[in-house]
Amino acid sequence: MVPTIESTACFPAASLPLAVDTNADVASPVLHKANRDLWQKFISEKLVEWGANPEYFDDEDVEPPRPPIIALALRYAKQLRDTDELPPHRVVPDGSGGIIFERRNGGESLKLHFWDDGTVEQIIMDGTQVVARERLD
Amino acid sequence: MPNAPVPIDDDEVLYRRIPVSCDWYEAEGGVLYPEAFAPRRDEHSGISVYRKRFKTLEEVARGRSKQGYYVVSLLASELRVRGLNVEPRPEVEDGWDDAHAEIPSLHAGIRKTNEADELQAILAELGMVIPVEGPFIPHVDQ
Repeated sequence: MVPTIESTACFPAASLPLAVDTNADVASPVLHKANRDLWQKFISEKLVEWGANPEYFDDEDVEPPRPPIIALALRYAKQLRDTDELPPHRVVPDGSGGIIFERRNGGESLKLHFWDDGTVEQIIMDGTQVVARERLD
Repeated sequence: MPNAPVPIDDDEVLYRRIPVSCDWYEAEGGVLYPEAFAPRRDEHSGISVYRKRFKTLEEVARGRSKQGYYVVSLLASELRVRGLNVEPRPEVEDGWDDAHAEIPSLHAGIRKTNEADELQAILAELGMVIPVEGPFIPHVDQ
C-alpha cells in the first residue's frame, strides 16, 4: 500500500523538533535542503544498499529485511522526503526482517517500524515508556 | 547430578552479543539502542544471554559474521531489581551449554507490544552500565 500524506504526516515534525538548532527557520531553503539531503543519504546508503547487497547482514543473529519490506520503507522514505518531513536520526534493521526509522530528542523517541509482515507502526516513547502506538498501514 | 541447570547468582555477569552491521551500538558516544534486545522470531522462550561464569567474551563473540560483534554485559542483580528474571537454559540445539540462559519475559510472542518495547529500552539502559566490549572482528578463516 502506498502511504498517504495523512498517514505519515505526524512523523516526526510535530513531536520531535530538530535538536541541533531550535531557532532555525524550518522554512529556510538551506534547512530544507539539509533535511532532504539527509533523507537521501538514508535512502541511498541504507535502503538501496541493503536491497542491492543482500549479504550485508551476513550474521548468525540477523534476519535481513526482504526486498518487499525494503521497497515499503523506500516508498515511505521518498514520500516523507518529498513532503518536507524531518529526517530520522537512524535507519536500522530490527533483526527479524523489519526496518526501523527513528528520530530522537533527548529521552524522547519516535519510530516508524516496518515489520517483517508488511505492517507499519508509529511508536512514541518517553524514556522507557511507550506513550503512543498507532498502526499506519 | 549430571546435566542439571546451575542456578544464576545475583552477582553473575551475563553477555549478549550485538552484530556490528546493525548499528544498534554507537561506539563513539557509547549509546546502546533497544533493538539490541529485540527478540528474534525464533526466541520463543526468551532472549538469549550467556553467563560469564562459563564463557569468555571472545567465545560469546565467536560466530558467522562479516563485520563481527560487540558484547554487552548485564548484571543479574540489576535485571532482577527491574523485574526481569533470568533463568539458566542449558539445553540448546547442539546439546548442553551451561553458559546459555534466557530472559523469559521478553520473547518472540510479544514482539509487537508496548511491553516488549519497554523491556528492550530498560535492557538498553542497563546494558550501558558496564562498558560495551568490542568490536570483535572475525578471523579471516572463519
